[in-house]
This record gives sequence, C-alpha cells and structure tokens, in this order.
Amino acid sequence: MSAAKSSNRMTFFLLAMLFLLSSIPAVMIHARAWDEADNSSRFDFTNSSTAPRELEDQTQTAIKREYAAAWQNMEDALAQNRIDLVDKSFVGGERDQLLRQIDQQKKNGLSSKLDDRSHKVEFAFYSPEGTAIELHDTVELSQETMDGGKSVHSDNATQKYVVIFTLVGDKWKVRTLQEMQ
Amino acid sequence: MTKNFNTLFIILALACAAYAQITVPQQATAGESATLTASSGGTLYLIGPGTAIKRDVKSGEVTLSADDLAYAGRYTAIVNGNAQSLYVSPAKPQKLSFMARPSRVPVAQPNVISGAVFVLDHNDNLVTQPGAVKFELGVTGQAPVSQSVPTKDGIAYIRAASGKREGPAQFTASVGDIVVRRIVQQVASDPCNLRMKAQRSGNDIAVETEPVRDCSGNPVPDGTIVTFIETTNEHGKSTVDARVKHGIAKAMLPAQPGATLTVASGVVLGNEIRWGGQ
Repeated sequence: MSAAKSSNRMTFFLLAMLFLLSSIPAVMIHARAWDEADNSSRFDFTNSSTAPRELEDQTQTAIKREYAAAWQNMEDALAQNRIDLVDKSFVGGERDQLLRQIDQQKKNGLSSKLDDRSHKVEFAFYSPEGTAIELHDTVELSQETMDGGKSVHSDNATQKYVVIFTLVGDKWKVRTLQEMQ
Repeated sequence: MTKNFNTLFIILALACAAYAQITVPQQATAGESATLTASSGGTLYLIGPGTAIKRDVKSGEVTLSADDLAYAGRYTAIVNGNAQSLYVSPAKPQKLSFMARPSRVPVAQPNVISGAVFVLDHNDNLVTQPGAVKFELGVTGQAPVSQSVPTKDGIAYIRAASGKREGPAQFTASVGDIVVRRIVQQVASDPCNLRMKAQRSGNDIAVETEPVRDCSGNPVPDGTIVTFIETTNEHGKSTVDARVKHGIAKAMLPAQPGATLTVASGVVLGNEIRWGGQ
C-alpha cells in the first residue's frame, strides 16, 4: 500500500516536472515575442514612397527590425560601456564614433543612459542600386550622464536624426545616425 | 564667531556653485575648436556624439579642441551641475561616397546608369547643408554629358542614359575640387540592320552576315548569337545558331531549291533570301 502510494507520488512528481519542462520553451518564446513587440511599438514608421527606388516589403521589414535593434544595442553599449554590442548594428563612421565614446566613457568612469520613448520615422531615400537607405527620425528621448554611480545631468529632448543604413553582406547596418539641428 | 564665519563661507560657496553659469558658443563646426565660458571652476563634462570628456577647469574661458568636437550633433557641457547644450554643424565637404551602377552597360539605353553620392566632411559627418554635386559621364575623345544635382540631406543622385560610343566611360561625381571617378564599361547594344549573304558551297549554302553592329554603329561583342533559318515547304524549318566572331557570323545550311533563308539576333530580324538553287 505504502509502496503504491510512493509510486503514485513519484509518477505525479515526474508528470509535474515534465509539464514544467515542456512549458519553458513556450514561456521563453512568449517572452521574446513580447520583448520584440514592446521594442518596436515605440517606432512609428511612415509608409511614404521612397525615391528614387521603391522600397520592397521585405527590405522595409528588415529596416524596421534592424533600426529598433540598433537603438537597443546603442543604449546598452553606452550604458554598460560594451564595445561588443556596437558591431551588431553599426558600421563605418557611426561605429567609430560609438567606439570612441565608449572608450572615453571608460577612461573617465562615465556612462550614459538613453531612453528613446518614441520615434516618428520616415523613409527618405533608397539608392537606385539598392544598397543604401536614408531615414529621418524624430525621437523623444531622455538622457542621463552618470559619473560612477552618480547622476551628473539628465534632460529630455525631442531630437531629429538623419540615419543612413547600408547593406553589409546580407544585413542592414547603421552607417550614420546624426543629430540634426 | 569663527564658526559662524565658516558656516557663512560654506553657504556662500554653495550659492556660488548653484548659480555657476556656463556659456556655450551660438555656432560650432565639427572638427573646429570652440570656446565656452564657465563662471566658476569645477569639473567639466562634455557629452556628445563620440565624446565623453571629464576634466577640471578653472573659471573663465575653456577651450574645446577640434578633436573634442569631431562629430556633428548636440553636445551638452556641464560644470557644477549647470548644463548648456550646443549644436555642432557638419564641416565643409571633404569626401564623397559615390555608388555607381552598373559596371557594364549597353550603349544608347535610357536611364540605365545610376549614381548616388553621400557628401561627407573630413570626420565622416553627413554634410546636410544644401549644396550641389556635379555628375559627368563620357568616353575618351567625346565631350562628357554633365549635370549638376542639388543635395538633399547630404545625398544627390542621378539616373543617366548610356552614351552612344562603346568603351570605358568615366563616371565622375564632384563637389568643388573633390572628384571621385568610377568606370562604366559601355558595350555595344543589340544588333541593328542585320544583313546576310548566301552562296553555294558544294551541297550546302554558306551564309554569312555583314559586320554585325548595333544601332549606334558599334560592332557587337564576339560571342553574340545569330540565328540562321531555312524554311522550305517540303522540309519545314531548320535553324542554325552561330556566334559572332571578328564581327561576323557564319553557318552552313543544306542547299534546298525554293528555300527561304532568314537571319535574326535577339528580337532583330535581318534580310530574307529566296534560294533558287544557284
């Protein structure tokens, strides 16, 4: 009797473990989907026609995804002084610029917290041969400069950016992310 | 008394720090030094694109070096908690990033060549101030076709027709004395005015085109396919594909009295010959 009870308990325990294990991937997928949705929901893209070449749907989807990722990587890189995140989304002059900023932050014990609350993005240009795209973005963002663990300044701003994406291999990367007056 | 004096001194020092003023220049240019004024000494933080500087400064004028302001964008200068922002504009154009396509193109085709230029300063800032890019396209020995295109947010682009003469065309983009060249190989277009002649050669007919040229008179490249067609009521249609070699395509067809001989290349049809058995 006692052995049967113990066996039932063991079966119940194993079933419970099996259920928990099987639900982990689903929970992870759900969490990731939520993260992506949350990340891109701040971005309002205007579907205006690009010149001189019309933007393909696939390219448009890729740019939306990569632009949201670029902001996330930039924010994480500047907050944590991590140069490894820069290469994920940036290339050329913009990459050099971010690496220099992180290098200076590290030397001076600084870090920057950026919080991009909303983006109004417009596709402005798609090069005839299909390897470069220019976006115009108006960003609501807050910035905080930290010295060690101490905040030395914070402000909120509405900032316009001109953004150039370039095709590197099979991935779009940000070559220019320049603040406009 | 001394205690009160010390307290007053500390309060005054704190008040001075609280009212510390920082004045930034109205205009600044990327890669050029600038001066700001701090009403009291302390720690200066300068945060901006590619920049995160921390240094002790004395009251008065503080020089920011050309390297401090290398990149265009918004900078924030902070001294003793007092912050001011300044916008640093891109400098004058120093580099052109010129993308030209394709590298090989048939002659006399409309809008087949495209060029896009990003105008950059010496620190790779996009020069967003309005300007113009001059595009030129031409082969050696001919006057180039030239067009000036205004930039918009640092970009200018053009679509152009290929020239009438084959050969390596120089496609240039320039701003002031900054010139970037690309080579576009212009090749003969599709054959035009295709003509052939036929003569007996034993039991066959030897057919041969005149030199095959495009509509601009350029010889088509060797290897271009020319199709000779022989049609008779008795045997129907037979075709022979021949490649142009040294400007001419040749083939042998079976000699059949009453045959109609035609020649074609791509969508271009040439002359027709009625073979009477001669």
